[in-house]
Amino acid sequence: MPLIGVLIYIAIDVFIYSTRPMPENVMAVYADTMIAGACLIAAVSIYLAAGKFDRSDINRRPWQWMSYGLALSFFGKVIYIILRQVSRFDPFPCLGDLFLLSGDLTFLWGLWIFARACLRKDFVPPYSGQIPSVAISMIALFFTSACVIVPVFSMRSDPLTERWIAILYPILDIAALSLSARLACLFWSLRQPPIARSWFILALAYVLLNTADSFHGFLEVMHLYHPYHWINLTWVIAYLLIANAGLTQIRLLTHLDETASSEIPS
Amino acid sequence: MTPLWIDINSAGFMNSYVNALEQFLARYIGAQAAHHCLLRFCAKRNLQINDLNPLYNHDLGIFLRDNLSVFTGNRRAHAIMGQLARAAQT
Repeated sequence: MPLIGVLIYIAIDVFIYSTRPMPENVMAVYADTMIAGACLIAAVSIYLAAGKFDRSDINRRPWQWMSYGLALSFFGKVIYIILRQVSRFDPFPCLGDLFLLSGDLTFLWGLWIFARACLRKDFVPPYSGQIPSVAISMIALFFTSACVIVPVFSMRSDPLTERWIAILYPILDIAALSLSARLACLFWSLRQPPIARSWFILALAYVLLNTADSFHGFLEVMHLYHPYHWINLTWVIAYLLIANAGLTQIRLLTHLDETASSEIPS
Repeated sequence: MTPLWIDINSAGFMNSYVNALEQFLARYIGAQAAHHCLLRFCAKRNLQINDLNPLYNHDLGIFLRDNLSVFTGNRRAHAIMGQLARAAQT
C-alpha cells in the first residue's frame, strides 16, 4: 500500500475540512468524487486479489462477489454525482440507489460466503469473539433503530416508497456490520492469524464503513449533514482500508506461491 | 517474511513433535487456533494429543488443507500439506 500517498491525501483533506476553502456545492462534488475514487480503487484491488486464486477455486468467489459489489457501488456513486450536477438538488431516490443497494447486497453476499465457510472450520474455537461481536451488533441495532429507522418512518412526510428505500440502507448496514464485527472479533480473539490478516483488515474497514453509513443516516434525519462533515473522510479511509485488504491478500498468496516453489531446509 | 517449514528432525519425543506441529501451524493461523486445530483433529480420531506422531501426517495434512483452503485456495493449501509430508520424510 502506498502509505505515504494515503497519508499525504489525508493531510490535505484534514486541511480542506478544517479551513473550508471551497463553496459547499463544489465541496460536495469533491467529497463525492473522492469517495467514488476510493471505492473504485477498492474494487480493483479486491478484483486483483480474486484473480490470484485459480479459476476453478471455490474460495475465489467471496473476493469476486465483493469486487462486483464495490464496482456497483462505484457506479451508483457516479450516477449520484452526475444527477446532483444536472439537477442541482438531492436526486434521491434515483437509479443510483438501485446500484448502491445492489452493490451493498452483493458485497454482503461475498462476505457471507466467506464467513459461513470460515466459521465452520476446525481451527475456530467455539464462541471465540462472539460476546463482543454480539454486543457491537446490539448497540448498532439499537442506535440505528432509535436514531434512523423510527425517525424516518415517524417524522418524514415523504411518500412511503421513498421511506422504504431509505430504510433499506440502515437495514443492510446493520446486517453487514454484524457480520463484519463477528469476523473482526473472531480474528482479534485469535491474535490476528497471519493467513487471515487481509480478512481482519477487511472486516475492520467494513465495520468503519457501516458505522459511518449509520451515522450518516442519523445526520440526514436530523438535518445535520453538510459537505464539510468529517464523515466523508471516514468513508474514503474505509474504502482505502478495503483496498489495503486486497493488496495484503495478494502479497500473502504471492508469498505462499514463492514458498511452495522453494526447497524446504533440512 | 520468515520461511515456512517444520523441523521434524528436532522432534525427539512426542511433545516436541506436537510443539513442532503447532509452530508450523501457528505461522499460518496463529498459536491459539493452531492448538485448537490439533485438539479438534485428535478429538475426531479419538486420540490424546500426546499420541500424535509422524504416522498421522497424511491425515493431518488433509485435515489441515481443508482448514486452510478457505484463506489460500485449494492449490496452495495442497502445497502446504505437501510441505508437511515432505518435512516428515526428512
